[in-house]
Amino acid sequence: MTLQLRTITKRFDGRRGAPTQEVLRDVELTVGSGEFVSLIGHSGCGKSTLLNVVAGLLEPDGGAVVLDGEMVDGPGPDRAVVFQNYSLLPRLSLLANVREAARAAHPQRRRRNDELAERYLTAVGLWEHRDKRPHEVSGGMQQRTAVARAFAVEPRILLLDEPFGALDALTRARLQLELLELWQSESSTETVLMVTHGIEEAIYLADRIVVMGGPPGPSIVEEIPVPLARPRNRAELIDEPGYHHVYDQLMQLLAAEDVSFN
Amino acid sequence: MTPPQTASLVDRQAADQLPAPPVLAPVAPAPERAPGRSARRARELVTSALFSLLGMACLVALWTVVAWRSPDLPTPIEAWQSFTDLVSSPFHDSGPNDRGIGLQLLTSIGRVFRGFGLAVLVGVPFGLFIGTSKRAWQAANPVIQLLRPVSPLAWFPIGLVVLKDSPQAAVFVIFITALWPIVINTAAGASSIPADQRNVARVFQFGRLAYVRHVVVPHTVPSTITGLRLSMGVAWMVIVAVEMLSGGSGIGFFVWDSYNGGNLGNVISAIVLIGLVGVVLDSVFVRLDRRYAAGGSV
Ligand SMILES: Nc1ncnc2c1ncn2[C@@H]1O[C@H](COP(=O)(O)OP(=O)(O)O)[C@@H](O)[C@H]1O
Ligand SMILES: [Mg+2]
Repeated sequence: MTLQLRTITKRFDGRRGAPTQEVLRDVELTVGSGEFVSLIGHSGCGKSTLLNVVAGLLEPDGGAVVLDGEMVDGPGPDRAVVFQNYSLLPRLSLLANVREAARAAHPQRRRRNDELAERYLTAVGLWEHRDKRPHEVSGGMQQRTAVARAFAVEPRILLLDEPFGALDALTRARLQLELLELWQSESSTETVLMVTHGIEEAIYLADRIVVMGGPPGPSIVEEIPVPLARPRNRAELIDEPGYHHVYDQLMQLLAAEDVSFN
Repeated sequence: MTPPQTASLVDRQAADQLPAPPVLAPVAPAPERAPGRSARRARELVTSALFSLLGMACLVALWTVVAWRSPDLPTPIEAWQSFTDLVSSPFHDSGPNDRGIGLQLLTSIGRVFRGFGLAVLVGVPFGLFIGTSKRAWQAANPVIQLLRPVSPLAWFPIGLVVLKDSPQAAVFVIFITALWPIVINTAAGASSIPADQRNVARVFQFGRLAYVRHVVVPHTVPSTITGLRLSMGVAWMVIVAVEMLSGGSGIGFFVWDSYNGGNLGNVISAIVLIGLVGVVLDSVFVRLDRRYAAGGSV
């Protein structure tokens, strides 16, 4: 499964006479099969916009999203999304949230959908809580459900938009680990594109980190490979020279971006 | 599956004027409480009851003054006489001009339920339809805007001509009365689905049916209940007026008939009873709303 972004351009019309804002200009990116790529950049530089273009929720003004040689046109369950604000359906139980998504994505295979819903809800440790509604569980549990939902539709690529940003540090660390385990398990989802603003999170999770810069020239600034072997141990990671190398590079790039913002 | 952005419409104004449904208050007292707490709560209860009585007393005082200046109007004591007479045999039936007040009320309630029920059957699906389809909304909106401000009583002649039956025409008027708030509030709810829920439906490719069932309906229920509540309130007001036109039976007919017979005590008694029934009907929807908000199904 290969994802290619070809010269993606996206503009938003300004409200009430405000000038049109160019959020993405000629973005080129290739994500290879089995790769975990993190998108990092300052708030407002267009990370969510880019992810939504890949998801098909936004139409680019120029360029194309190509998935295994096919042009993407509109959203679809081959690109499951984990949204920042969880976005569970509030009147459905946790299990129903996962199951209904699986059923909608693959209407012909009812039995398998139910198995997948059970498997992934169990994998994120929520099987006992399956009958609860989203408002009855914590934010971390809601986001676990959203992750289970995304895996249960067996997407070819998983898209995550700052999925753990609203969670406390301990919960975030656990969910990062769970995400890695699901990704490396026998799940059919091998490719991940994840937006984050956390440098540690990006290094811990990704094979490659894509740094985005804001205007002027809203586009990709740099791509940094992460030379750390898996499985990665969070505690030992900071002793690796590779870790610090990547960290310093990211810091410099983001700090430079910050200046150009002002 | 592209719902329109937002609808400008809405009987929200009217909805806002209704008292907000009370938030679910814990009914059972907490086991370990400071002893002063329950005494204070009891005192508060007594005080609030006293002030409620005070309001009523003001009304009765005003009435007494007016009745004193205008001798045709019965005094509260005379009206109380009529009231006890009426409710002492509510269900007697000695011909069309002498039926118990309970029977008249039941007749009116029956008509309201029939008209209201029809309006629900038509209005909820129609509201969902125009709330989720931009084109349907554009087609329906002018018609709704044109007809909504018309007093439903204006539809009575149409009902008479088409149905050739005066009680049926009354039900038809109630149907029209109840229709607009249900349609408009349902459409408003259905057209204001949060973007993130729509995105979920798009990403996971919910079909039309699953979208309506899991996204549209759950989101729309509260505003539909508001619409039902408004509808029922107006319907119960309009039934009195329309039965004055249609004649023959019902509480509206009773009021008019009592007036013609010079029995103002009966008119006042009927006003009180109409008000009481209205309160009960309204409370049904308050309860429904609360149950849904608490996570129950409707
Ligand atoms: N729907 C929209 N309409 C107009 N402007 C938008 C819209 N969505 C995003 N923007 C603008 O595009 C820029 C990038 O937004 P976004 O992609 O959300 O940034 P990020 O996710 O990196 O924080 C911001 O300046 C934002 O104000
Ligand atoms: Mg964002």
